[in-house]
Amino acid sequence: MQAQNVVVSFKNIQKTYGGVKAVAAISLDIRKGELVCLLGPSGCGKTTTLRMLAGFIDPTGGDISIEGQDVTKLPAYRRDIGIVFQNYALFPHMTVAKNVEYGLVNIGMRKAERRERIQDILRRVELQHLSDRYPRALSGGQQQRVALARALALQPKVLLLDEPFSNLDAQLRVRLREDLHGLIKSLNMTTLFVTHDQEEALTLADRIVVMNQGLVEQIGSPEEVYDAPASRFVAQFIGTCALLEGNIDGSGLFTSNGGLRLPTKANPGPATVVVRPEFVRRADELATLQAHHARVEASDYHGHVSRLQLSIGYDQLLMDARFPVGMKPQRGDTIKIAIDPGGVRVVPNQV
Amino acid sequence: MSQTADPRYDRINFIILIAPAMLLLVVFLVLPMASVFRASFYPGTTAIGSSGFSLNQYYKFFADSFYLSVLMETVVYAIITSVGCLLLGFPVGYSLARLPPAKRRVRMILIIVPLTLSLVVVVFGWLVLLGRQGLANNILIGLGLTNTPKQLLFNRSAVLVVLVQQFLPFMILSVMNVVLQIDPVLEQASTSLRARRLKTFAKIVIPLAAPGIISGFTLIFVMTASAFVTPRLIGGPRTHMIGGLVYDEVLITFNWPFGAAMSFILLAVGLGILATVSALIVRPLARGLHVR
Ligand SMILES: Nc1ncnc2c1ncn2[C@@H]1O[C@H](COP(=O)(O)OP(=O)(O)O)[C@@H](O)[C@H]1O
Ligand SMILES: [Mg+2]
Repeated sequence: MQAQNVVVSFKNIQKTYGGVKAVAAISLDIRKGELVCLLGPSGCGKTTTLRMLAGFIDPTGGDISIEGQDVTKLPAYRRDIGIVFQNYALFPHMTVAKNVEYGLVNIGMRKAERRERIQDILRRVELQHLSDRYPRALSGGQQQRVALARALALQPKVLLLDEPFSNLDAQLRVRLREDLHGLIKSLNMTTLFVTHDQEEALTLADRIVVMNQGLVEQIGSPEEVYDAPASRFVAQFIGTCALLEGNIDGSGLFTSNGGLRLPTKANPGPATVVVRPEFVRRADELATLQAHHARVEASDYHGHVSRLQLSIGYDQLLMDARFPVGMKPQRGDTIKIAIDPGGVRVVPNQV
Repeated sequence: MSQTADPRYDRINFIILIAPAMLLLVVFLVLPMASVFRASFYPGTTAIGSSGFSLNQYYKFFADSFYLSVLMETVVYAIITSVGCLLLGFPVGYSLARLPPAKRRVRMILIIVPLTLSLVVVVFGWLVLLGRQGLANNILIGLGLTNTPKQLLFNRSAVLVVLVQQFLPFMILSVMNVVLQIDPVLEQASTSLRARRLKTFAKIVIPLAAPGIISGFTLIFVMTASAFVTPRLIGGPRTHMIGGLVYDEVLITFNWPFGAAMSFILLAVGLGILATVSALIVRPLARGLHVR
């Protein structure tokens, strides 16, 4: 089973605190150069999982290996892991350069080589002009880059990041996210990243591990978890959607609530479908499809689109659409819509 | 948090806020100190009705090898006690700071309670413990380590043990307070940067705890240097510290000028040593200890 290029391997990892399962059972392989994201709501066990890999928390059960070597019992300082903490954890009594140098001294690197390594990594994060500053004299974004440089200077086998953008403002977050992605990919660094922000996960990750209450709900590429959610939880946590229950027969899904008929080719039987708001369109845009009369229950203006809450009989749908100036539907209006069959996804029914 | 932009108001507010404390200090500390300082320059053996200015008292002190040796001994006691408190108190203060707050509270009470007891009570407790019929001797005899009771009191080691016991809480609290300010994640960061426990301790914890170490050291140095109850009662007639000599001069022979001179010599030497020690250790501490 062990593929050649697997760097990190979690096998049935668990952690319980006084009988409460923080992490119930996680199995995951991370390949060389892959950027994997643990995504889930607060308290679902992401940080605990990350810290078990870092060696700060002993798992209650299961094994962790790095490049084929079992590290479950290895102390943190022998795991060859770089970590960027949520609050960066820069050493306040050391300059930027000293912070970066710290790990290099610990592995016994010679002075000349250290200096070269520090300059190289500070250049990559564009901080060489601040190398003599103390952390308290840096902005949040700069501190984050120092933390990253400090971790990367040791050229670890895996880089771990725990919500590294959560202390930054929205504008900076997007820019630093792109920089981080570029840097990690240029170094071909194997990375495990923790966030509760689905947008961060969708833009950064090669693969997303969606977690809920200590369990993995789905592992897949951003497209897979968005377009083909494996559970109701994943569908609702990532992006926005309407969930409809019904029965599939030869001609599509017939909702049990109101008798709305949705086009789908999935296997017959009872099913839940996800309908994303961008697949609900104005009837004039999809003239070939069956049109439905929908009542507008609420309308929020989002700038690039308006998000409408619609009801068709007893079924609720969401719709993202643009309307010509002055034509925006108001609450209580009835509009004609059509549903793009490409956006109707069946969610496996859970046990 | 001044509401006004005018710095003059800030200054006036500041003066109003510190005035009561300043007044108290001037009336009850600075003025008496000044008059004691003045008294140390009187030529005779009494301050009453004295006038004139001479260095007689200081000559007397520095010309007599007895006084010099007591000064030396006092300084040595102060250094050994401070270092002893540091070595014993640091691990305790550190672990207290790393406990969850609820557990910490209970243990802190145990550390503070001895400070609320009168020093005389504590010292008598030690006299009972270390006396010829005391618990310590009973245990030694019971274990067969000795047949006759040992003389445990009235020697230097006994004085040092009791001084360390008295002042240890100050070091523990001082270290605990500074370690509470150190984010434990910094230690994890250090570990992930390939530092073993000892290295993290030497390079991260010690430098960041340096202010607490130095304040605890200073406090205990000063308190030991001026101690006189403990050396007198535990050390017996042959143990001398400057504090005891000053006490005798001022309250028994009423030779205020000489007592005043000894006080100021102790003050000057103490400050000098503290300044030297901190100049020597502040930077190395802040940079971190050397470990492999
Ligand atoms: N030291 C601990 N003791 C008890 N419970 C803990 C401890 N650490 C975490 N937990 C619990 O484990 C769960 C997962 O925590 P965490 O991994 O921090 O979640 P996340 O990072 O996804 O927000 C939470 O319910 C949390 O309360
Ligand atoms: Mg977390």
